[in-house]
Amino acid sequence: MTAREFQIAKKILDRLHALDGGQEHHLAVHAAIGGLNFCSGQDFDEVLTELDRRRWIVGVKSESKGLLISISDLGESARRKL
Amino acid sequence: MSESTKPRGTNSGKPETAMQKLKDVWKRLPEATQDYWREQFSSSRKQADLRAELAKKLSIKLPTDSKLTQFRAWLDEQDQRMLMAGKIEDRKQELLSGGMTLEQAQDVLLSEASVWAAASKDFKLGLKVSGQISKAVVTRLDQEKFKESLRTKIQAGLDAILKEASNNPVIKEAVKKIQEATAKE
Repeated sequence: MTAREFQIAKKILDRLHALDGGQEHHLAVHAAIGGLNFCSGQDFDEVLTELDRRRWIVGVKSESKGLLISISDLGESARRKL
Repeated sequence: MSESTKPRGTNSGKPETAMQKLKDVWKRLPEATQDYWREQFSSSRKQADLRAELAKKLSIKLPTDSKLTQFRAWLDEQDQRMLMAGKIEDRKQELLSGGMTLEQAQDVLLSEASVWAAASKDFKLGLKVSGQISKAVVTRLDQEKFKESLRTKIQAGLDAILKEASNNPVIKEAVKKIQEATAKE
């Protein structure tokens, strides 16, 4: 990941950490970290995919509530190092 | 996206607390069971009584009443987030059935979610502003449709001119320039 991508990743992980074990819709997470003023939808999606690949986040898809994400144990320990 | 059976938000390597276990178990409970517990949490039953039932039915022993209070506060926030998630998905379907592409719909949803996030303490204000954003996007889409229909009509007119004056290089050149200019608009 580039420095910019790490910056976005840190914001996402910080947000998910603040939910204290909770889940949030992926667009609500993007909105909470500053929305399009902070990063484009494409950049956000790319970082989210990378975080999932590294298993730093857990995504659950539901028909009525969309993609809900939360932070994993691995994500918690990575967040502290970022 | 990957799914894991481990609790989320815990510090790696540290033993899980009863609260962490409860949060994790909660997310896997069927909706009807969650509703049952919500009802109990908002009833006039004593906290100690509720903790005893949690221990019996879910095998989770919350050590103090204050832990149960903390869990209920967390649950309120989680319920708000799930409400928001449902709202986002409903709006997505609404926007898609209104003729937007997924990309356009995501832009609107993100703007609306930003408004809701900012105005989470004032839902009326949030709804008012999100309505205005939707109207602005619908207007923009209407303008795009109008432009497209205009382009089609201009193109048809130019094709007719070309057909009539196919041997005239000056007219052909002029039509080409008009076509280029129209395509850029």
